Amino acid sequence: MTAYIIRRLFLGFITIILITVIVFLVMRLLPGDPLMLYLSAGEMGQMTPVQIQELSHKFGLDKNLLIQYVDWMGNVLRGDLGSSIFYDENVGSLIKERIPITMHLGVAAFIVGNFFGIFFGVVCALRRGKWIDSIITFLANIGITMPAFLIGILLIFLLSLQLKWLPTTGYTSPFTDFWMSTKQVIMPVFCMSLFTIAAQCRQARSSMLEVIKQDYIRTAWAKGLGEMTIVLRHAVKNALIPVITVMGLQVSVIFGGSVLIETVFNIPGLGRLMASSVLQQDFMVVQAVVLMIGAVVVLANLAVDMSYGWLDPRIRFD
Amino acid sequence: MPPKYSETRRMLSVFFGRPLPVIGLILIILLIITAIFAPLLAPYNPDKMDMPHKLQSPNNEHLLGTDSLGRDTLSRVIYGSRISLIIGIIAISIAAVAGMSLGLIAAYFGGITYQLIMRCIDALMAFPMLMLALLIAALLGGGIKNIIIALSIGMISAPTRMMCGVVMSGKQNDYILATRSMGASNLRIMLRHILPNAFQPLLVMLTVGLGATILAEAGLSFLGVGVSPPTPAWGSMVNDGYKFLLSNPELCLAPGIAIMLVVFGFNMMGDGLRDALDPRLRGLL
Repeated sequence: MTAYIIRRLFLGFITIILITVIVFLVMRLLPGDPLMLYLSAGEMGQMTPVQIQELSHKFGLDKNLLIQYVDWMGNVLRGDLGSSIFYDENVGSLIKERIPITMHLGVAAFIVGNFFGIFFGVVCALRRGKWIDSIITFLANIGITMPAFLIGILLIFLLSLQLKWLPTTGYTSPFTDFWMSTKQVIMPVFCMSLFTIAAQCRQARSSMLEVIKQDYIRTAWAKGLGEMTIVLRHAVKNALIPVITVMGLQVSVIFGGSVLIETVFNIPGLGRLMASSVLQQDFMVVQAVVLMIGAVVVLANLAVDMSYGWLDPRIRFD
Repeated sequence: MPPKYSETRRMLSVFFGRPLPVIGLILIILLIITAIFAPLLAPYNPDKMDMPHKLQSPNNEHLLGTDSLGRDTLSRVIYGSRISLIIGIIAISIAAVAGMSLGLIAAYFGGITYQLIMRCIDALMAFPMLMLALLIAALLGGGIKNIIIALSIGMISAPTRMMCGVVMSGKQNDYILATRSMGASNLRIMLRHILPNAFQPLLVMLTVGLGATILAEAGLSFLGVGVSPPTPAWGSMVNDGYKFLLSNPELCLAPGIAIMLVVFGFNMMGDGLRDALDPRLRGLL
């Protein structure tokens, strides 16, 4: 088991290094002056070539690419992610303000999505062929194709503007005003979890169907165990591995969705920060956000990998 | 004499057997017709501004109303299909060709090459696709060419992985060993014997991938990094129309529903193709 963990940690570490290299290369190698990281386009236009040279030297942009990478990584590891051009603040503090908000939505979407997805999937598998299976599977097949941000706009139009049931946009912390916060959060979380519910429903259903066919389930029936006991004690645990894989993928999906959905619902989170920074060409911020989210996704998938070893003892000796 | 059982007939009967893939196919055909015959179908020039008549609700002259610059929404939606389709097709084709070559090289030569390429692809996949495309598109600037580049890079992981899978399982076959013992070069084996196995998953991946690429392009345009202003693109139309959701909902909803229908169509068709082409489902379903 320890060998497995160590090997997985090592691979995870390598992937994180690769992520930093990719972000660094993308920022430095693509056309466009790397000075754009530090200055806005307006300021750059007003400078003479000599001044641009001096600034390039000051920011270390004329050094070897490898040295630049090492310098940058050193800063990142020490917590210095640079300063934003637009907000005139430390990128780190900008991100820190917004993390709890995106976490609130993201974690809620993750929990809701996976819980309902697995629940519906198991129900479908147990009642295979009956009308509830057909309906839910049909909805899942449609749901998996629906673009979340457009559903968001539709929901705003119907539920907020036409029916006036829910507030349109904005965000309040649950610690300030719990009820308002919940009302505001329902639609975004629903949109962000839609894909997860559909994907997890399909996966859990197919996974459960595989497990139910097994002989040990037949034995359990023959022993006289009730359906609930069989499902909860024997079937679900064994069906869990593909389901947990999908859970790991949803982390990336939910972060990706947060960019558009936070923009649509005007929620001041990481996604909207990324979207607005891209428009303002505030590339320090963009670089930091992408890096952070990449790292989080790698860690989530690492956790998923580790859990395989815990769930299926056979894998530990791989 | 009993009728001959042909593979094509089986595939067609599986595909057309369920309602959803057929609906998907119809939607896609409608999309292609709209894109090709846009000049004939659109009542007005999509770029023609008509300020006195701006922000109209749907009426007899403008079936979907006009936008804030007086342009006819219906025509813009119709012409927008061209942009979406062109960008989508080119981007996914580039991604497929590049990805499949990478996957072929990685899986065929194995060892270090494989590890290196797969680690890079894993790292690439750690970023949500939209973020990666957003980052690249933002750095390169807007415009059709740069969006295509950004989307291709964002979509490159899936073909690579698919190709790796196909080649890894194809390599094990004995007929490859036989061909090699007859003196076939590496290149010939790769192209002539292993590659054809990839056609079926490739077709499914292209279909579903085209839907995903069109969706990603809409997302990029919505965020403002898409095609430049006068060109009608569904994503930018949704963005512009969002401000007027209360007064002129159709400005935002019409392109939005167009996007949804197109993505839905591609996904359903891809699902149907996957079921039809899967030899293991022979006789079932």
